[in-house]
This record gives sequence, structure tokens and C-alpha cells, in this order.
Amino acid sequence: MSLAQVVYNISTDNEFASQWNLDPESALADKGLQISREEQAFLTAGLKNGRFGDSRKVRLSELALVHRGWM
Amino acid sequence: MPERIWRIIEGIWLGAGAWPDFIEAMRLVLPSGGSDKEGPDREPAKWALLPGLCCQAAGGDARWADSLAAAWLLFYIAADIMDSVEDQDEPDPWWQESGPGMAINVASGLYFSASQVLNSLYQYDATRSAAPDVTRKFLNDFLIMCSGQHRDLTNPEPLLDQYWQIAAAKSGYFFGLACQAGARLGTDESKKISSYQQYGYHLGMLLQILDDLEDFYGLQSSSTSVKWRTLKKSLPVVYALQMYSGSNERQLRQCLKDASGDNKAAEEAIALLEGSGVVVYLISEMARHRSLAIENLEQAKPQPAEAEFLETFVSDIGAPV
Repeated sequence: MSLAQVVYNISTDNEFASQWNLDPESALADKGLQISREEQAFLTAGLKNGRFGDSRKVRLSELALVHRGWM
Repeated sequence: MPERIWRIIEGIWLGAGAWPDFIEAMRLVLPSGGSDKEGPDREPAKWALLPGLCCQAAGGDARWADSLAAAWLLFYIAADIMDSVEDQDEPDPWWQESGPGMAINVASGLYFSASQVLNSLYQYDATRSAAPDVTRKFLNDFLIMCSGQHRDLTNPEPLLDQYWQIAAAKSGYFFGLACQAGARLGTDESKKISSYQQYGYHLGMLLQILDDLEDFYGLQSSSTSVKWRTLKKSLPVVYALQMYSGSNERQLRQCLKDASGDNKAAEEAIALLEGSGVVVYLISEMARHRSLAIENLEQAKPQPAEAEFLETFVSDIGAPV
């Protein structure tokens, strides 16, 4: 649940998102959130591969399309 | 899928004295009609390679796992049919006219066939000693899968933690079983077997996420009818409904309800889902399960050739778009 909460906060709270970019640990502490180092790594992958902060964010349909052949 | 796997299945049917028309009904729901021909439905057959790969990766011979592969495939297809009936999906052409009773009967036949195939593990020197463990594990894990399905059916709006529990029971355990059982035939080192099980578990979780994503391919194009009831249990919606509150939550619920046949509602639903950070969340969770699958595979210290195959099953899922 914590990872989901952090993602949601990054996505909907600009102040949290800015603080996260500068100092993730402080951002988490201020919100009373906690995620493991591994989860932080997965989230970093998610933010990078979802092109967060970029004007060109990955759409849900694009993610669905890219992985369509895998099943 | 090797021809010898199909021969095992056909042998069970003929040996049991099942009637030809029923055998044909079961044969037709197998990938590519029960042969090794390439075809659009060969994906379940692809995953049925897992027991043999894990057996060989663990130091055995892939052929020792042929019965396991056949049983697992039959269970997979039977469970898929039952899932369709239970979720009241649009019927497949083969049971559309006769109704869900036919689907349930064919699925039942596949379940019994799979059980008979598992029994054959006792007949061969290479698999006899592992047979009791493997058979018990299969049947225990199927009870867990049914538990997951029961929870899924009785909980119309799972919370996020509940979603993950159900996904684990329905998919994680099932793929974990394929890998663990295969590895068990190749080794009796419990730590290695456990690592293969965890590899399969995380692969299963990845595939469950992809299965849920498939629903959104249709929503974007608005060209297929969208089932609100199914979407409410998919990971993107479960996540967003739990994260949102107040007016956003109410708006999302309404848009998803109206999305079928209303492009504007569909677009609004997508915008709300994407606004919640669902794409980042999905990619993060895919990264988690991919990483854990590979980590466990490495811990199992597999034979190099099989390691490469097993790694390719997970390595591209969730990779950069």
C-alpha cells in the first residue's frame, strides 16, 4: 500500500513531487510514509519508464499495447 | 509444445474409455486443437514449457517433466474455462449454443484428465520418488487457487491489498507450481526448489498485471464493449478507486459505469485513471516482480542454457515503453 500511496502523492501533489526529486527520504518523512530501498528502486524505474516529469508521459493504452503480445 | 506431450494427453483419453465426441470436445479447447502446429492460441502451450525448463535447469532432463507439463496445461485450460463461466464472460463459440453447462463439463473432463496424467508420475523410475510430493502440491495449490477465485467472486470491489492476495492465489501460486514441480523432478535441494517456485510466482504476478492491462486496450479504442463489473476488479481501477476520494472517486465510478458506448465517458475515465499515477504504479509493480523473479532465478543457480530461456520470459515485461 505504501508504494501506491507514494505514487499517488507524486502524481497529484506538486509540492511532494518537487520535494521527492530533491530529497526522497525527507519527502516521505514529512508525509509519514515509508517504503523500502527496494521499493524506492522500483519506483525510480516506474517514474523513469513512465517518463514522469516529461511532457510526454506514457499513456495507459500505450502500456497495454506494448505488452499485448506477452500473454 | 513437443508432440510427445500431446501423445500423453491422447493416451489418457483413449485409455480411460472416454467417448469419442467428448474427447473431440476436449481436444478442440486445447491450444491449436491439440497438436504442435503454430497458431494464435499457442500461449498456454508456451507456459507449459516451464516444468521441463525448470527440471532441466535444476539438473534433470526436461522429458522427465512431460507428464507434469501435460497436467499443468490441462489444469490451466480447465481453470480458464471455469473462470470464463464464473465471470459470466461472453461465451466462446464452442459453448455458445449449448450453454455454460457444456463448458463446465468439458472443464471437468480436463481436470480429471490432468489428475490421471499426474498419476502417471508413479509409473516412471525418473519421477516415482517425487510423485507423492508433486501430486500433493498440485492438489493443495489448486485448493488455494479456488480460494482465490472464491474471494474474487464474493468481493465485488476489492481493496488493493485484497487484489494482490487474490492475484497471488489465482496466478502467482499457479505459475509457481509449474516451476516448483518441474524443479522438484530435477533436484531435491529444498532451497533451490523454493527459488524456482518464487521465480514462477513472480512470473505469474507479472502475467496477472498484463491480463488486467488487456482490459484497457479495449477501453482506449472504445471499439469493444467494456464490462464495468470486470474493470472494477482490475488493478488500475482498484488502485485508483482506493487512492482517490471525494469527487474524484465519484467521478471515476460514474465514468467507468458510462464508458461502454460513450466515448466521452471512456476518455474521462482514462484521464482520471492516468491522473492518479496508475501508469507509474503499474510499471513500478512490474519492475518489482521482474526483479524478484530474476533474483530468485539467480539464487536457484540454473544451468546456463535454461537460465537464458527462463530469464527471457520475464526480462522484457515492464521494460521501457
